[in-house]
Amino acid sequence: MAKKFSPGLSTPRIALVGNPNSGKTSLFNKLTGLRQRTGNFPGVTVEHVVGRMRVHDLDVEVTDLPGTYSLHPSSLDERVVFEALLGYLPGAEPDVLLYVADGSKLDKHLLLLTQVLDLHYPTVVALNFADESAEGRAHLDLAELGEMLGVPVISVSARTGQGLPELTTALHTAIAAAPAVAPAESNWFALSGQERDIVRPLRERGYGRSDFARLLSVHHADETQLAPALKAAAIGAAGGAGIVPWLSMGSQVRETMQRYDRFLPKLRAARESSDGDRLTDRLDAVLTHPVAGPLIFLLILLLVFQAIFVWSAVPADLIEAAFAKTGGFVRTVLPKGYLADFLVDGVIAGLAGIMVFVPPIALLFLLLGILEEVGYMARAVFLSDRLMQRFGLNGRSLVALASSGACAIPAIMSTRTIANPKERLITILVSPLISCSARIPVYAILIGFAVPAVTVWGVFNAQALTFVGIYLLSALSALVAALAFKLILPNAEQSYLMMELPIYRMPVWRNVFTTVWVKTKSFIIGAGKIILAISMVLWVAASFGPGAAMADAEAAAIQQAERAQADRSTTEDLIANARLEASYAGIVGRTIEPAIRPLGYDWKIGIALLSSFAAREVFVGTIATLYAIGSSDDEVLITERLAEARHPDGTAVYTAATAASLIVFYLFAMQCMSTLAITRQETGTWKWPAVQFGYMTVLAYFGALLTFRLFS
Amino acid sequence: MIEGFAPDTSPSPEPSLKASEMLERQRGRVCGFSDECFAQKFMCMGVRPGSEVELVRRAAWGKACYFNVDGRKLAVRREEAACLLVQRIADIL
Repeated sequence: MAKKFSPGLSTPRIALVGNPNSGKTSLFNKLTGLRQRTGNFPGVTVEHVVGRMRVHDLDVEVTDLPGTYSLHPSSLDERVVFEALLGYLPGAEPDVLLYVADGSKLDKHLLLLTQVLDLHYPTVVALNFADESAEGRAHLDLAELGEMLGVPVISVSARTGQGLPELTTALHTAIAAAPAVAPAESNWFALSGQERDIVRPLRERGYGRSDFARLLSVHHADETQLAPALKAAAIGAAGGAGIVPWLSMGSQVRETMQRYDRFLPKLRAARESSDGDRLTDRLDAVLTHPVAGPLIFLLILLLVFQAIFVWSAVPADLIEAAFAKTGGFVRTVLPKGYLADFLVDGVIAGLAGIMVFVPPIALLFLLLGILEEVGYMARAVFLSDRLMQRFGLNGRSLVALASSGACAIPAIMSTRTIANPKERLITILVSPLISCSARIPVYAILIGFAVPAVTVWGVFNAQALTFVGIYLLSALSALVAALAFKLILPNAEQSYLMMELPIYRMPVWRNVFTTVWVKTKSFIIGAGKIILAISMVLWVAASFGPGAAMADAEAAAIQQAERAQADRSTTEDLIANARLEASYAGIVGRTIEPAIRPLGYDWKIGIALLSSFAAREVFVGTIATLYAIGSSDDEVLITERLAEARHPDGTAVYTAATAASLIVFYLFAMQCMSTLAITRQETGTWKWPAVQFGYMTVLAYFGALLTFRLFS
Repeated sequence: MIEGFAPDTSPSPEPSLKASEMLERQRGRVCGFSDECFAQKFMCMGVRPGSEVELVRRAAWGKACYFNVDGRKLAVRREEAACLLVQRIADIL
């Protein structure tokens, strides 16, 4: 049905399509700025990035589709493009396509464009990198190219903004013309007689935008999410699923050859290697060298982690201090009672628990973003592919595992570029074993407690060395777990490396900062909601108990204090402890105490463990809450409070053995609901989050048990 | 060999070899593929019969190869390169 767009009516949708390394996301960031969000296509759970921009008088929604080389999908990312462009996802079809190509490598970037043109969307072509290939594209006649392609072609630079006014005008014209009248024949590809017979019934029943769209639907009906009726019709048209794979592959190869044969002769051959190419060759001679390459890579990884620990500690401490001050201030202005307690121990403590992660997460995304932007990540994949393969992973898994050092959630989402389902699944399953930044404060407290801050071997700080050891153990455990899954899981399909190594470029800082902003924001909002909710629930559970139990416990504690003639602060502590033990949280803690006793934990740690199963960063807040309740002196450091804690028999609760056992527990345990939710989303079933939760919990329990035995 | 992929038209006495068996800095011209699945992947990335291929270097352990194909740099596994059939052009000394 024809719809006309005018200001104030329905919002037109533009989708950005292009090869990887075409600068598509750069252009997207330039067009939409920070007006971006991640959203889901209706009916499917695959996330994508959506932004908004003004196109003259129109407010337009822009989708950045993943980069792909062809409309024949092999990875999940490529399937997203396929499904968005012809899966007939209700309400997700774009109105206009913006095709982004590298103007200096047109012979490579036109294959996908000719396929996209055969889907008969109104299309505008943007030739990117106008700023760096000025002389290289002197041979390009945009008008001539536009005439050959039948669509407007604009030369732009996402870096400098050159050509954007012309691009906006062209998009406006395309939107005004949408839906365009479909051309009858493709210029680039002719279906064979057999293929015509296959698509005819689909066309007669009104499916598909064009014959090429119908043919694609038939080729990939098995592996993609098409509308059910279309899928049934497509499989039927192919004469049953049995003959499709054989028919399909030869047909795809023939189609691709035909497209090249038709457009290549029309391009004036004038490609010379650019300055960027020559610089890349010189850099790669060192950076991908069989010996120097891996060493430099290790060095870069070490620098990244060093930076996170050293640099993010300063702002994190400032944030913590600011929240502590705010809490103190609230206590001075509000009357003593539940409201003040709730605000300070529940809400403000919870907010502080979220905000202290912002510096390390933002810093890791910043550094990874820079490595990605300059083009180094692809080299890291090239260098590590062989090693990763031994463990059932793919070179691309490395990017996910490195991002896991910040947060497993974006890491798991980044596995969509791994084409092989088994390698992708293993990467998802082991990613949470890499210690994320949420574990840093937990480790920091426990190490601060158990390891003296002395210098060993002349230069190293013993606490820093322990940190390094923990990270090595986490990386090692991820690889061992991957190996185990490699042996257990059935062998699936062919695995690929085959990837482009982009030329090195100066980073576009806008892209780096947009990534940091969007990902950090989604962490604060996504994980933040859970952390805040838990710390509030926890406060309620620790402050209230069933019936008169808490009042009784308080009375008993007062009697005990009077008998012992305790001073005021000891009395308060006794009362607080008794109340906590009688509260709902205390009851739960007591119930699980027998199970965690062998690990060296008491019921208070039990409460902290349970609350950590929603999000591990809650540990610090929980311990602070549990040991803070009753203690009037907020200046006492948590580590000192831990040292004072006693079992009923008078022995210390926190020994070096307990701390080591807790570190190992937090190292291995799956304590993050958001990660489980994202695993569910990315694997499409509850089976894999259940497996992930199960194996990590077993690993954590027995690992902690063993550690406690070794140290005590 | 895949039917319909004509070898390079220039008369060449050289027999074809697998790209995985090329020496570093050696150049060749693609004359065919021995596996349809990999062929489709290669062709989408611009590697097609007639393309000029140079093996730039191999990674440590030699399992991953760094190719330059018509100006596009590609990282390819040895198994993947084994399906790419090339005819030698000249050795760069």
